[in-house]
Amino acid sequence: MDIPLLVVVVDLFPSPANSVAAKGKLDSGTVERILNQLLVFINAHLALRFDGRVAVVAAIAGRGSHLLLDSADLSNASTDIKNTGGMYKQFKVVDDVLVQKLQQLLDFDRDSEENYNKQSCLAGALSLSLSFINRVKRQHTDPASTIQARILTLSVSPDSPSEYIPIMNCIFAAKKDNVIIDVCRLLGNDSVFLSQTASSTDGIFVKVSDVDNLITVLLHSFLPEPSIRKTLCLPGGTLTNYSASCFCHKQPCSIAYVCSVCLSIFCSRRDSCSTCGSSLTQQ
Amino acid sequence: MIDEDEAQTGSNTGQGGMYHWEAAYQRSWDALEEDDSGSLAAHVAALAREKLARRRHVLALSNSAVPVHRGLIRHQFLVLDMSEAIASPADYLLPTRLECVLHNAQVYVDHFLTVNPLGCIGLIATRDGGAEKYTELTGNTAEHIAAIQNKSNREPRGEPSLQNALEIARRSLLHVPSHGSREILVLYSALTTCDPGNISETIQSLKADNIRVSIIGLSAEMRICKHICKETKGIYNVIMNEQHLKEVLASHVAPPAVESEKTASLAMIEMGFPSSTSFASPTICANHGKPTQIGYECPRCKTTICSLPTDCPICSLTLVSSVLLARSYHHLFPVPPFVEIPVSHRTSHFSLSLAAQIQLIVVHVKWHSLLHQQGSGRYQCPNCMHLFCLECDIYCHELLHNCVGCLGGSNH
Amino acid sequence: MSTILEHIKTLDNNTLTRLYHQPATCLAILRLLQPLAKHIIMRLLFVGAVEMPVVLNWIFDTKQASLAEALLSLRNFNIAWDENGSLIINQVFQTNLKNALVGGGNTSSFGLPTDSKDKKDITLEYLDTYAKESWETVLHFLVGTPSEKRPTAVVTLMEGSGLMAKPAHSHRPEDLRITNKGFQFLLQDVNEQVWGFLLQYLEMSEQLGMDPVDVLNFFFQLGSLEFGQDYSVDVLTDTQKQMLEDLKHFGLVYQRRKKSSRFYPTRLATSLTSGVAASGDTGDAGYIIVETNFKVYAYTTSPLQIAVLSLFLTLKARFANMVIGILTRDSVREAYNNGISSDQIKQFLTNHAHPEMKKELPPTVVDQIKLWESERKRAVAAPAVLYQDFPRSLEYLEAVGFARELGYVLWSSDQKRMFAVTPEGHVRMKEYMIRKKQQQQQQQQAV
Repeated sequence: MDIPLLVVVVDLFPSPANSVAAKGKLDSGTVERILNQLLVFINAHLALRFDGRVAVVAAIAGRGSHLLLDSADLSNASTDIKNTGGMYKQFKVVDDVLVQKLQQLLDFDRDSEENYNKQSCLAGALSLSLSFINRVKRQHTDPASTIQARILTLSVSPDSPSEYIPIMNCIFAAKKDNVIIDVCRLLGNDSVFLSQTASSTDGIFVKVSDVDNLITVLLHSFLPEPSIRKTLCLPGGTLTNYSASCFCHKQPCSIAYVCSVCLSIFCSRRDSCSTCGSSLTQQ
Repeated sequence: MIDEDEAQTGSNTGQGGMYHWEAAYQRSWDALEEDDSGSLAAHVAALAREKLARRRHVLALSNSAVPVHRGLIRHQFLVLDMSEAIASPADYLLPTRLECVLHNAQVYVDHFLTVNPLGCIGLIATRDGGAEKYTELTGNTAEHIAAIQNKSNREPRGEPSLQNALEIARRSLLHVPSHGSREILVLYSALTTCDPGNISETIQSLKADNIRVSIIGLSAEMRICKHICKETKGIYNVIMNEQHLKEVLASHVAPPAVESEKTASLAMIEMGFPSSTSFASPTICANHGKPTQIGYECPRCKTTICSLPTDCPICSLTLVSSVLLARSYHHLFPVPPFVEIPVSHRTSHFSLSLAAQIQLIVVHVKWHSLLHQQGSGRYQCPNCMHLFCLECDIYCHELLHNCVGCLGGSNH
Repeated sequence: MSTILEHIKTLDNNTLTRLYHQPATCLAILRLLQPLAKHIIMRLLFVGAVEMPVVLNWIFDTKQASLAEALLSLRNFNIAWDENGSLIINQVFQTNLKNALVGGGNTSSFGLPTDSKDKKDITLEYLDTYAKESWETVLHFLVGTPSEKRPTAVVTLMEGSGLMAKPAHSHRPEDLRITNKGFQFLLQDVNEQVWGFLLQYLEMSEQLGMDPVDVLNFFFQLGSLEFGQDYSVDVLTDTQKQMLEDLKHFGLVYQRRKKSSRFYPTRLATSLTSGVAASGDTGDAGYIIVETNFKVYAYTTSPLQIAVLSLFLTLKARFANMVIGILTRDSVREAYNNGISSDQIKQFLTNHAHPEMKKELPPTVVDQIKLWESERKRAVAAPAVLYQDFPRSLEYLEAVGFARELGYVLWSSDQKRMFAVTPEGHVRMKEYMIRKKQQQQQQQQAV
C-alpha cells in the first residue's frame, strides 16, 4: 500500500522580477485567488485517501524557502475547531494553518523592501522539499506500506541562470529517490529549467494563463497520483529542449567545446576555461 | 548489525594492538547492551546512529570545501581476478567470495557510470595464466552487467596473471585521448601471479603512459601490488570484510583530483549535443547495427545512433546529452563539509541573523526534533550558518549536492 | 469495508440521493470508491457535466475496460451517469462534496463539538480502555465466556446476524451457541467486525422502522469525527439518539450518563471509514510469532485471544505472559470443519503478527495450511449413476463418447470400462442404450 505524499512548492510571491515575468498580472488579488484554489486542491488530495499527506513549501525571493505545513504534524495548530463552517475538520485545520503562515510571511516581506531585488529561490525550495521527503521516508518504519512522494511546483518566477546547477542537482536527486516533479507554470511565461525538470522526472508540465480556472486544471492534471497515471491520459509530452546552452553567452548550441577539467560548455574555442581557470591546449 | 560489529572489531589491527587473528573470538551478541527494561532498542538506535556518523565522516573526507580540479573524463579498466583463488573460501565475504566480489563489481560499474557520465569502463578477467577482455571501454552499463552475469565468465580457472592483465589494459588505454584519465582498478584475490616476463618492465611502461593502477586486495597484502600502486600513483587497499570492500570501491567512484603537472594534457573537447528524434520508419543505428525508431542524430554528420553517450562512429564527434554533463557539475561546486556542533553548545552558540533563526525554527527544529532528543549532534554549514541534523547532512552531501540554506540566499 | 459498499449499491436511487445530503457521507463514499472513479468525480466536481467522447479521451485506449468499470460503479451509486451523450454528476452529491471541501451548507454533518468544557476530564486512554473492554465483552459473549452483563441489544444482534444460534429445542437465551459464521467472525480484524455488526444493525433497524438513510448517515458521521473530542447530542435526529444508545454497548461511543448531552466517539468509531486498524496506538500491537516448525508463540494474557487461537491451534503450554501452540493437521482441520478458511487463518496470523516478523509468515507454514485445506477438497460428492460391464471396448467408447459430448460425464476409467454420469444424464443415456440395443438386434436379424 502506497501512502501518497504531496509536497506543494509555492513560488508566486510578488517581487519585481516575478511581476515582469508575469507581465504585471501578479498583484495581491491574483495571488489570493490562486492560493484559494490551491487550498481546495490540497483538500481534494486529502479527500481522496484517508492517509493522504500534504506538505507546503514556500519559496520567497531573497527570504529563502520555508516549510509551511505538514499535514501529519498539526498538533500545535491554533484553530477554532468549533466553527468549521460545514467543512471536514482536517481540511479546515490545514487551511487555517496555511493561511496563517502565508499571511505572516507576506507581512514580514512587506517590511523589508531590499529583499525585493533578490532572485528566486526555486532550487532552494526544491532542495528543501527533497530533504523533507527523504526525512519522511526515513522515519516511516512500517514495512507494510511505502511513501509515494511527489512534488507539485506552482511557479511564476523566471529562470535565473545561477540556479541551473542546483536545479539539475535536484533533478538527479529526485530521479534517484523516485520523486516525480510536476510543474504548473502560471500566468503564461515559459521556463526551460522547469520543463526540463518535469520531463526528466516523469512529471507533467502545464502552463496556465487563466488564473480563475486554475482549480479545474489542478484537479484534472495534477491530482492523479503516479500509480494511476498509467491509466489516465494527462497533458504534456511536448518536446523538451535538451540541447546545451553555453556558459559564455547562454546560447543554445548543438556542437560546442567542453573543458576537459570541469565540463563547462563554450560555443567557441578558447585558451583558458573561465569556470575553473585551467589553461587549455587545443586539440 | 552484525556488519556493524565486524566493522568495529575489524578496524585495523583489532583491540589492544593485537592483530585480528590474534584476538579472542568476538561474539557479536556480546556487544549488545540491554537497558533497564531489557530492551535492545536503545542500543540498536545507537548503532544505527554510529553507522550514519561514520558515513558522514567518509563523505566529509571525500568532499573538500575547495573545488579541486578533477579529471571528469575517465577511462578505466576493471580487472577481475577469476583464478581459482576467487573460489577459495572466505568467511568475511558472504555468501561466497565469488558471488560477493562479482556482485560488488556490478554495483561499482553502475555507480561509476552514473557518477562519471562521460567516463568509460572496460572489464578484463585474468585466469588460466592469461587475461581476457570481457568488454571494451564503453559507457553502456547494461553491456558490462551482462558480461559479469554471463555464466561462462563466472567460472574460476587456473592461475591469475597480473602482468598479462595489466598489459592488455595498457594497450587498450593507449588509444584513449590524452585529455581523459587512464586508470586500472584490480580486484585481486590471489596471493600469487603467474607472469610471462618481468613485471617491472610493465610497471615502467605503465608509468610512461601515465596510467594509474589501483589494486584492492581481497586476501592479504602483497608487496608487488603495493609497489605497482606506489609507482603509478594509485591506491592500494586490502579489505577486511564486505562493508570495507564497499567503502573502498565507493572511494574509487568519485573522480580523482588532477595534479597540476598534468595540466598540459588538458584540452577543449569538441562535443555534440544531439536532440532526440523519432523516425517515421525504423532506422539502422550506426553503432550496433540494429533498427531503432527513437534515436539521436549526430549534429555534424546526421548519423543515427541509439544511445548516449557515445562517439559518433562516422565523424568521431563525442556525443553527449547536456543533462548528463550537468550530472558532474556538483564536483565543481561541492557543498562544503558541515561543522559538527556538540549538543552541549545548544544554547550558547547562536549568533545567527534573524532571518536565519526564523528559518531554523520553521524548517528544521520541527521535523528534526526527534533526532535531537536522541542526543545526535547538529551540523552547521560554514557558508550560511544553517543547522542540519545528521540525516539531512548526509542527504545533502551524498545525493542532493545542494545546501538548502545557501540556496535560500538569506545570508548572501 | 467493501460490504458496506455492496449494501449501499442495493439501495434505490431516491434513497441514495437522500443519503448524499450529508457531506460526511459523500466524503466517506468517495474514499471507499476505486481510484479511477475518485478521479472521475474530482474532474466532474467543478464542471458538472462532460461530454462522453471527452471522457473516453481521458483514458488510454488500452485501459478502456477499467473506465467502463468505474463508470458502472458510479452509475450504481447514483453518483454520475450518462445522459444525452454527457456524463452528469448527481447534483446533490456535487453540492455536498463541494461543501465538505470548501465549507458552507449543513454545519453539523461532521458533528457539532460541544461549546462548554466537560466537567470531568475524559482522557484518550480512558476512551481506549472503555472501547476495548466493551468490545471484548461482546466477543467474550460470542465465545461463551460466562459473564453477568448481557445487554439485550447485543443478544438480539448476535442471534439476528446468525453468529450465534439456539439449539433446535431450546428457547432460553442462555443456550445461545456460537455458529460457524461466528467462528469466521472471530478471525476478522476489528474494523471488519465492527462493520459486520453495523451492517447487521442496519438490517435490523429497517425491520424496526428506522430510516436507513438516518442510520447510514450516522455511521459515516461517526467515521468523520475526531477521537477525543466531545460532540453534542442535541443536533442528532431521534433515530440517531436511539442508535447512540445501542452503539454504546459495542463501545463505539461513550456517554457518561444516559441523559448526558455530549458523547465521545471512540477509536472503534473514528476509524470506521479510514481503513486503519481500530485498535489504539499502544497495547494491541502484534503478539504472534510463527516459526517455520509450525510452533506459534503468542504473547498474550487475554482469555479472548487465547480462545480465538485455540480455534486452529493445539495449545501446548501457557506461561505468565504467553501461550505456545502448534499448528497441526488435526487442529487446522478442526478449524476447517468449523467453516474457517485457510485465508482467514493466514489473515489472522498476519494481522496480529509480532512487529519483529511483520514482513511475512513462514512460507512453509502458509503452504501447508493451504495444502491441508485442499486435501479436504480432494473428493467431491455428487449423485451419480454408474455404467459398467461393457462387453466390448468399442461399445464402451461409443457410450462414453456420447455422454461426454453432452457433458454428463462425472468420472470415467477406460481401463475398467466404467463411467459415471449425472442423474440428468441418466435419462438420456437410457434412451441411448435402448436405441443401441435395438440397432444391435436389427443387425443380428439382418445377419
